[in-house]
Amino acid sequence: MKLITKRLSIQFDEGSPPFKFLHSIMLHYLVSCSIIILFASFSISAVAREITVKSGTKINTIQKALNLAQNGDIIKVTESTYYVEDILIDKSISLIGIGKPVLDGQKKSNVIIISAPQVTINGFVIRNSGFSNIKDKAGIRVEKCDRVRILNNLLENTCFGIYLAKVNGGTISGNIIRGNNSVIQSGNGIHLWYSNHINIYNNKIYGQRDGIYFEFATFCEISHNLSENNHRYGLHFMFSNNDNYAYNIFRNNGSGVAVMYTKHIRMINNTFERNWGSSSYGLLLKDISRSYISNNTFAKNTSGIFMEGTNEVKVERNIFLNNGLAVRMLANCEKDTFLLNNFLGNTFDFTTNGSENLNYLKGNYWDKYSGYDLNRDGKGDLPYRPVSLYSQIIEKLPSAVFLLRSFVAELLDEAEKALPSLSYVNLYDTEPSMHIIR
Amino acid sequence: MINKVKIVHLIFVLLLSFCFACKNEMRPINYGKDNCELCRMTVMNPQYAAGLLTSKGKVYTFDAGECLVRYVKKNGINEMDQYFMSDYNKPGSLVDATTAFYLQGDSIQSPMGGNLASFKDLTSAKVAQTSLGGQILSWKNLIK
Repeated sequence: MKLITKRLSIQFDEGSPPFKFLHSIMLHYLVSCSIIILFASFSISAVAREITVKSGTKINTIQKALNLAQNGDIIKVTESTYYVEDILIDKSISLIGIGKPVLDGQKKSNVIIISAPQVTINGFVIRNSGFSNIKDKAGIRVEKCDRVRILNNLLENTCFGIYLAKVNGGTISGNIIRGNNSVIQSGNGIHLWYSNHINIYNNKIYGQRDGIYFEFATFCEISHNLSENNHRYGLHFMFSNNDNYAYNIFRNNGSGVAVMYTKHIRMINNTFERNWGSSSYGLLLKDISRSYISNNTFAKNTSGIFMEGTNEVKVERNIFLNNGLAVRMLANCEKDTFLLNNFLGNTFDFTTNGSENLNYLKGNYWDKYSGYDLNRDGKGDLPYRPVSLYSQIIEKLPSAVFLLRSFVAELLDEAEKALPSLSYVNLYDTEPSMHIIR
Repeated sequence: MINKVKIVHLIFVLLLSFCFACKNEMRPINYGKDNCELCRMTVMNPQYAAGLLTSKGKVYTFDAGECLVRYVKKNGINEMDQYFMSDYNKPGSLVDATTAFYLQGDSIQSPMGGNLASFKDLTSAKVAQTSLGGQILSWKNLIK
């Protein structure tokens, strides 16, 4: 240490007098920095102890290890099955499983409760939480603390999987959550309530009520997750603004994703598929504004997107493939924009329930468009009306769906082509693309 | 002879009562299938679900009591319609919303953020208040 400072001082002493003052400041700064780093490294080595939980030794339960631990310690848990109930982690520790130890909650209450900041839980199998109607029971419950990290766990047969209430900052990654397939009793896989700045990535969630549920959760990132076979929604936002979700797959859920009563949500590169059912949607937008939906794939859903009370939402470069209805847009939607989307193989491209429509479509590719492009600019010469006459009749008379693919329905389509003025909905794509947009 | 007449009468009355019974009755809510009439969410939680039976016999379901309240506030109350709320203490059973009592407080996490639970009578609401907190309301307070 002294040597370094001496050398530095010699070097700097050789400098010209006007720079001497500056040099001395720099020297001071360097010395103080190195002292701080030295102290920090000492303090870390002094505090971070390792405690190992192993059956047959003195510390054979996690609770015993927790009693011994101090802030910053690492508790390693060796492979075994531990029967636990409401383990309270109230110190800033890392709980690390070696060889996937099992924490069995015996169907009584929560399995783990975290109430201290900077806690890490990594590499456990957590199963059998309690199920209760009065209080939400969870595999891992985090309450009123900051910067939690929940990594690489397998949660089985828990009511709620991971439950965050009033948490600021954290990471939930690499977890697999498997619900018990009971419709009424199941809770949500990852549940956030009044939390912000949480990163949720690389998780897989099956058989819960909602895969991921956000209520008053803001500034969160959700990416690369798989949410499948959940009873209600793959992902569900309620009153949660300013969140992003990207590169997720939502497959075969009761409905795909519901974004409700929120604004400023970015939805990018997600896949919404196989959400079949009488009232299912790939994406439900209900009372949402100023959001961005881009590069997503909507395939094989009853409705690709269902929009109600949706304002100033931009829908760009998505693929709508083989849906019953690609887009259902109720008349109370305003100022939404559909640009450069591909509509392929849908039974109906657009449906709506009113004649006035204050939204904007441009440059989309519609496989049902049969107009010409005589000036060869890549855009159809006539505008395309995506709300077919037949779908307007179904709107008035739902049982007319019985005539789908019949001669009568085809006749209506042909009649509409010949006389576009038959259609009374004023929604049309002004420049339909002649080619699939890539 | 008299017996025969009596039996015929009885059968007639029974048939009549069947007619009345099937005319206007709240059907059970189909959890996980039915959608909320107001917010479009799937009805999942038997502790908070609500229902509306119109005078014409049409059934609307709601995923939360607050959704029914908002629906009533939006569309006005119709004396001929029947309103139902879930009994918080007995999930899955519906009680008459107009005579039920309600508890509203932060510790009650109902699906649509209304913090509202419903009970079949005042005493059970008061019992629940000791553990859940919040304030007790009547139907009239709610739809005001």
